Amino acid sequence: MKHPFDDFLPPDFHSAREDTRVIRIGIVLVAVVSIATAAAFATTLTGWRGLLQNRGSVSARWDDATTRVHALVNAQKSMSDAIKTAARLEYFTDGVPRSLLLWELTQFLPERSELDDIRLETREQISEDGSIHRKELINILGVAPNDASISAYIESINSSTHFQNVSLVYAQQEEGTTNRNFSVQLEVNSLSLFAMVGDQ
Amino acid sequence: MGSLQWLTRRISSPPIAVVYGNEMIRLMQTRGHASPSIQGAVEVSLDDIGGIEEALRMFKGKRCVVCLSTSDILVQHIRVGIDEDETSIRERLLQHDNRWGNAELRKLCVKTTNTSGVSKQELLCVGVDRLISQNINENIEGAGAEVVAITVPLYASIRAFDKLYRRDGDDKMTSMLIDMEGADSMVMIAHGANCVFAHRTELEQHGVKSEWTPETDSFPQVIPMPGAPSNEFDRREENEPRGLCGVYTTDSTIDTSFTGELERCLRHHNSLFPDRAVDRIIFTGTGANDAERCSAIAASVGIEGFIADPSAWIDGAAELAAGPAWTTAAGMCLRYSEVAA
Repeated sequence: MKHPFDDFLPPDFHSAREDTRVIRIGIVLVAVVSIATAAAFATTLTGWRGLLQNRGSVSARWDDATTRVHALVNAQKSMSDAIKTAARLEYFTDGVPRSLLLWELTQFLPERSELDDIRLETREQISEDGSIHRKELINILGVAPNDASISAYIESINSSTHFQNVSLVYAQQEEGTTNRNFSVQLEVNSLSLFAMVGDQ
Repeated sequence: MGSLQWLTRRISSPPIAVVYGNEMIRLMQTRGHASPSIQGAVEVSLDDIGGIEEALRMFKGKRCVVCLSTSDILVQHIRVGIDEDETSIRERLLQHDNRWGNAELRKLCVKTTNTSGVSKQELLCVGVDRLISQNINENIEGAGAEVVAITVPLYASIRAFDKLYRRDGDDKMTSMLIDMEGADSMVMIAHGANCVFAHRTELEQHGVKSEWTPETDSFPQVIPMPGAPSNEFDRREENEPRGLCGVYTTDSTIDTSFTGELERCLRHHNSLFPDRAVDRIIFTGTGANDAERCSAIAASVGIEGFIADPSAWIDGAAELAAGPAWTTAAGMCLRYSEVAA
């Protein structure tokens, strides 16, 4: 309990001191809050700066990755185009060189025989699994002195590694002569080239 | 803000009691609230500013409670109407002394009377010149301390004996305290721990003892006042309450003008409280170091006399701050540590 004689300081002195104390505490609080705010701002700013740096790094990496993805896509497209071109070229390329076939066919031709027509036909067969099998068929039209020559010619062709499934289509007497016209169909052995290379 | 002050007081150490005497300043600090013990006590010359600064550094904390010297305070009893305001009270006081005009006034109603339907109150008015309190505040704060309160010896000295009045019926004890400090003395009469009368008077100076030497080899003489209850102390079964030392009969003589002042004080008190007689006189202050003189005073007014020694209530004070000169400082320490608690 406060006694009247406890204090003889004027009340306004205490209130002035109280005001001073409140002001000091206020200043300290403001200073503390300001420092804390500044520190928080600085920390946040540092964080943002780091974030911006990281964002720049990520952006650079993203650009690099984008460029590389474009390059990869282009490369894949080029590769795909090249594969398509190769496939297209393969379609037009011969399995066995035609000169070799012609040389073989003319080499085996018996004496006093001649060839009137040689036609090469390429056929494609699609199997059940979707793979494409190509087959090259040669039709030969010629004139031979007799059937024995034709038979010898067929045997010679059949003995060649470049041909298989040799069959006589027809043989008939040429009008006004003793010669015989014949037609032979045979299939080109596409593996022969490798066998030949292997033999060599 | 009140909570902040309460928290500050709870956390901080008790305030330093700074007692201004005529020539010396006494500084004392205690620690602990329930059983206080001395933190430090030192005397510094009044004009030694550097010494005061150095002395203040010995204590814990910076909060000080200052007690002005008796010569710096104004004391006046007045009887006014029950509804008198402070302005009219101050006007009444100015009729006695024009220094009341610039004084910080505190008043305590010690009795109310109702004669023929008119209610009146007896006020104990105490004043401190604002200029003096401002100067002292500046001096203390210039020495690096903070003044939290300024009080007066008549209050602080009575507070030193609060522990004598804790039991039921203790408030029936009527004590006269005489604080003798230099040429000025403060006479106070308290009912229990409550001050009901105060008067400032001048005491003839003649060779005041500077040191206090308790005399414990004989029993104090009890000189009962006419009409006073003679068995007031019977239940305590001792003649010397704690913190008081009895004085002995001597052949010393005392200034009759001073004893005359005391008798006038007693008559004033008897007129206010006719059913209460003063049971004992307690001497405090530097002047109370002279036990023979105290004895002569007690004998001249015919009341049992005691010399205060508040070191009994403060552990460790017997070595540093024993004797009646430290009563005011001890009272301030006990009172303001209680306020802080």
